[in-house]
Amino acid sequence: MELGEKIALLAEGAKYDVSCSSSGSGRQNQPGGLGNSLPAGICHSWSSDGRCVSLLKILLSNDCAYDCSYCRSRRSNDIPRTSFTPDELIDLTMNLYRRNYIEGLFLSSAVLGGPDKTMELMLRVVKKLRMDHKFNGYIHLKAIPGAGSHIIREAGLYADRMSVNIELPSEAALRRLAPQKERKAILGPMNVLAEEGRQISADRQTGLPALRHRTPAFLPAGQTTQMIIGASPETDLHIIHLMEHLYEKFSLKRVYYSAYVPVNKDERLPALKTPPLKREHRLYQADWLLRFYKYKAHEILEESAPNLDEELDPKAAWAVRNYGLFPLEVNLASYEELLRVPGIGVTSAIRIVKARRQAALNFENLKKMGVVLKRARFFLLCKGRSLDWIEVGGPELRRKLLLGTPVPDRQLRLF
Amino acid sequence: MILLYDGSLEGYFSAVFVAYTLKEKHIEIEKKENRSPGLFDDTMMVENKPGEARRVLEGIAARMSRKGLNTIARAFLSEKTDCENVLLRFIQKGMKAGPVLLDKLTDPDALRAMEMSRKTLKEYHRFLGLLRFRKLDSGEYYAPFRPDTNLLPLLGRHFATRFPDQDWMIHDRNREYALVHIRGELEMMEMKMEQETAGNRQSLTTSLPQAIKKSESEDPYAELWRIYHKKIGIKGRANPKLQQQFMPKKHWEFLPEMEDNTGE
Repeated sequence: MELGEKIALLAEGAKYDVSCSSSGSGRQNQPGGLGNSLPAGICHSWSSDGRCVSLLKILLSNDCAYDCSYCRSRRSNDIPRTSFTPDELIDLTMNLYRRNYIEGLFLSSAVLGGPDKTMELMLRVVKKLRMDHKFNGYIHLKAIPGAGSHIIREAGLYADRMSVNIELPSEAALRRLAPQKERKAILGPMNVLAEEGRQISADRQTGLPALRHRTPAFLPAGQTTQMIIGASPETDLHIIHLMEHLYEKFSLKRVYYSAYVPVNKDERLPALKTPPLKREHRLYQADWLLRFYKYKAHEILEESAPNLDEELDPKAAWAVRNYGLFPLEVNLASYEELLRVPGIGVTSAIRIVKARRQAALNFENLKKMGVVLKRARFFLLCKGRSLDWIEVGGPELRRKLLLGTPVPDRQLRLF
Repeated sequence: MILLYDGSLEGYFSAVFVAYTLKEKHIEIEKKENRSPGLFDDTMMVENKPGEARRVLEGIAARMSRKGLNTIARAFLSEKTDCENVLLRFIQKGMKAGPVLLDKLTDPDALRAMEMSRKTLKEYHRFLGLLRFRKLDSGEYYAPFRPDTNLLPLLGRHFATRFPDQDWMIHDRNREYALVHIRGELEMMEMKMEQETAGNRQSLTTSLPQAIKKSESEDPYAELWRIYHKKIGIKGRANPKLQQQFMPKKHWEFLPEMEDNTGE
């Protein structure tokens, strides 16, 4: 099979793994080496569905022993099967890198025989890139569920980031839709990575200076995971609590939510006309609230209303429910309080806190600093004055907020 | 009093130095090319003086912090109209107030300086990603682009660190000059696509226009990249509007993956 054909097949097989960031690692170049990493990550292109393309995201092989219901490469599908040789993949990575098409490699694979064997093959490619070819660009390596701890630990010495997909938001769904991927086979590597990461950074902090230099860097950009949204019936409430739990327990850097896109005909799967993109977008917004805006899961959703509002984003929905806490005086409110105001993002909140030390702020200043007054006007006072205050709150406020807010039918920019 | 300078950052700082030595209250700085000679107002041409420019640079770094200096340099490179005078006032205020001025966004000059700096920085990050090198038959890597802001002074360090053993050139097609990296050395060079440059010191400069035309025949990796890029789009969630928000059409000219321009 020609290289172009292989790439077409193996890229197609990897694309539903939506993670593609190149951030979190400050890997330096070495003498005689190629490449480095920027902690902020770099986006090199954008796909036709609007997602960032930062890495060469590809399968080592699509010849899978498993038969997960939602996956294109499942054993029972009749598709062409192929694999890269290590040198083919290395050559492709290095040459694309030299031309600045990519920050590095995102390597996944179908399960070839068994998890350990697959991981060994993948790790061989990664080690060769690092050691023989002195490649210091970004490497995101998938961990195959069920792979042994020793090989997972070894992989962390060479990769910048690793991930295991939890695939589905509940064990019941996992058993029904991907029976060969057992829950403990997924959580096992996640635990190993989390534990090893904590151990190494503890060693580095407490160890003797000499040891500090010898202790190898382990997975600088940490661990992430992904779940499919809409292939199984769990509520947003369930998912958001799961989100919070995953971040806390495994110290994950990111959780990705992938709207279910029907690829196979299978009676175990819902027959959706379109992927639940709006829902996915709202979940990402909720994720941002947990990670950057200091919200707790139980604040975002309650049992009585377990799914995220379609029309109003979670932050605005929270503000409407808690209107009694407003208005806030922008020149006096704390940073945490400011973060709760719809229309004030992290950047604006920081600017406000810094600027008001030198001069009191009015609405004009706020607007120039990037605050979205169309939304924030209902929640703020500047020097005691208000632009728009609705006594009653509730439905009237909601209506006015919606007038100033676009309703997405699909993913918009998150930042 | 209007001080004229040559348009470069060094020239600008030289003019700032002169502004500080003059007793006059109202000073403006403008690019020489924007002014026709023999007008009524009172103008003076400032020559580039590297020593004086350096003193200004160091003074700013010391008094307004490194961050302040970076903000000013980036704001200057944004090439926004009248950046010279906004920045002059910003510097004057900053030398008195210190680094806190950077946070004082109620001040219109501080706000403008921040906005201009941000514009440059945003485009810088965008091009760290969007610059595409093509390997010429002669073995060098060539990347053309058309930035709105003047990015060449900022790009050298990143690409020299990342590709230390490659000979490469980044060519600003709007401003017709290029950043060249040969045998580990960085240099700025004027590039006119139409004419041949004399001298045979570097093969890139003499043969560039020919080399590029010849290499219009594909770099094989560009084709593989196109295949890859096409395959990774998920049709069920096609979103050309979002794609264009991040990657406006004005940048598609030099992107192999957008060459067929169907937004696919």
